[in-house]
Amino acid sequence: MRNHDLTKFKENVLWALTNQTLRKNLNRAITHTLSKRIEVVSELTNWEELREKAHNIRKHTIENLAYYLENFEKKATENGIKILWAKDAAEARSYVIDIARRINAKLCVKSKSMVTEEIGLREFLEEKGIETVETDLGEFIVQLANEMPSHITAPAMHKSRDEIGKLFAEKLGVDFTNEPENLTKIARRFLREKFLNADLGISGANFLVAETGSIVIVENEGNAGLSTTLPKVHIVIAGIEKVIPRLVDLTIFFKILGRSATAQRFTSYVSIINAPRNKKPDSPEEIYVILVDNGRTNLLRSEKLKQALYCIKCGACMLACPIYQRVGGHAYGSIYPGPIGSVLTPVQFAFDEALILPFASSLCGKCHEICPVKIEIHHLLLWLRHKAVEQDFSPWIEKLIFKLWLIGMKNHKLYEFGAKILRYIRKIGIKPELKNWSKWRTFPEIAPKSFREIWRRQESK
Amino acid sequence: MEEARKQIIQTLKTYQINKTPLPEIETDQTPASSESVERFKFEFERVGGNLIEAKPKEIYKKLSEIISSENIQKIFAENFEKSIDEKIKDLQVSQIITQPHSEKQLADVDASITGCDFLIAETGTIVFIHRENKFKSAVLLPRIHIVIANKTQIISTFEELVKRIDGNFDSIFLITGPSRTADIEKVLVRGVHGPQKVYIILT
Ligand code: SF4
Repeated sequence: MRNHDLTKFKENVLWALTNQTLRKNLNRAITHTLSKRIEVVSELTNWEELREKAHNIRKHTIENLAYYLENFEKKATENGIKILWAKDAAEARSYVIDIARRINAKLCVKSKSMVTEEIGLREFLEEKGIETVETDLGEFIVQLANEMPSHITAPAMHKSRDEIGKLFAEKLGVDFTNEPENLTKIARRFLREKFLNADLGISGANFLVAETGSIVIVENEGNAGLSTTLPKVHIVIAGIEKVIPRLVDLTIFFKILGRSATAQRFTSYVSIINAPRNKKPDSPEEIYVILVDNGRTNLLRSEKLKQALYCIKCGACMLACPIYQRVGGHAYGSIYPGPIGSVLTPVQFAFDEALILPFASSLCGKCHEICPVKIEIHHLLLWLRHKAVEQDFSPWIEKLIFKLWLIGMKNHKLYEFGAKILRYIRKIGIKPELKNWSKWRTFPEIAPKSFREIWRRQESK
Repeated sequence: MEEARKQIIQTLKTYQINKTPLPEIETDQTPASSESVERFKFEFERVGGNLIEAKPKEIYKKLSEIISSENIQKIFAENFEKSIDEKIKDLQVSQIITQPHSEKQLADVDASITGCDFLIAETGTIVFIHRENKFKSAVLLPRIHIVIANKTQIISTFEELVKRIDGNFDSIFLITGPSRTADIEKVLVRGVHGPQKVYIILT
């Protein structure tokens, strides 16, 4: 099961809600990260100020995206990096395979990158006969399990140590162990071989700096550091929204990104890469940056949805979301799950079936509250719901109910009359058949008298 | 390619507006002081680093102690000033590599010994700016990394670093503690792909 089918969203949710192991695994990971996050966020007295600044930097950048991308391209090209532009996933993949064939690549090491998941790069390269290995431990685990990541910064958080132990025993032919330390050692040994023999390294980028033409990659394991220096050729795949104006902007983003993504004050490794080997010794011989649109400009077209491009893919909104907390990432059936994923998936990929995702939200606003770049995710979700209803998305019965409700709400006599009838129906013992609703919830009792009636009686006393 | 570039840029330009000004960012931080030294020690140890304070003439002794306690056989050593180089040559190990000829050779090494450019007090970070060939692999592949540094290299913040380099650099590599993961049940494990332990001998 590589992927949960988005068109079966409701079934996915049921499957997730009744899966006890999954609930336990999610609960453990989320509670742990959120409580650590509070610790490292609250020690910064200017957190709100930082969020505001980050928001404005991202806003300014997205408003002037063409300008900064052109600047980045110019600077990076001067530094000796080759820039390629891709309209969609197919074009991005074709650049990669062209480069891979030219250098006769047999083995490719990848470090974690959501955009490569988005364009299905690993499967594509494997199909073309190029062995492609995920080197981030979490990604390596989901690759072995033939699944997709369930969270954008903690890809294997839905799995328990026992499940991972079994997976390693089965796929790598090692003795079963469920000790995280030993499992990590096994992965290190296995991947070391791959690193040393790889001829192609592929990574994403956390930021592209327009001012200096730099590629910025943050990580904890050292796999990105190795993927981007050991192979002869390094390909960076990055969404066009990844650019930031100045090097100094990193001072803000480094403070908020690590804290939001993994509840860390600073990630273990940061690589700021400026040029390939002909310009400086410690790098690959060639570096390519593929700038991918793949539907990002769809978001730009809407004044409202544009905000979603401010996202720095930290994953915090997922952990904070009461829906995600219960169903996990796979249920969403999209590479980008959770609150921001429910905005990106229908719009970026113009995927009509995905219009169900904005309904998978309580609109509580926790996502907005935690988002380090202050995206009003809950507003965007509400707005998308509105669009969905306009597109005839909701069933006729729901529309009818809301129409009647609207008529009733506009006229208080009608409202009282309606309420009386409902109470009468309940009194004579007719229970509404709303199985889907009442199966998981207790049906609320209707009060014998309405508030208005009680009030009137009090008044007349 | 040209086609895609044109199309993307054109679309972006249609929606380009100049509304939000780019926020100013302060880089004028208080310069490093003796407090910064304390802060660095605290932060570096908090991320799992091993800090050893030493007088310059104790470097050899401290290095030898690490080498025997960690059972180190082969080392990679960067070029330092002559006095340190000579001490490294005397270390009781089976092999010392100063000019690695391949990554495979580096993968065989137990420890790397390097200098650094700066130490950032606020985060406990070690900063490397544009080093020799194969430097990054030499630091990431062995299980132990030993840095020989001086207190004068401590700066207060990342902001100060950005100000000092003034856009003038080839590449930067920042290391904050050992290689780590929490991908399995959020249990912290050190030494995933990079070193399990990072030592600083601070003179
Ligand atoms: S929307 Fe905000 S919280 Fe969610 S992943 Fe993006 S930056 Fe992080």
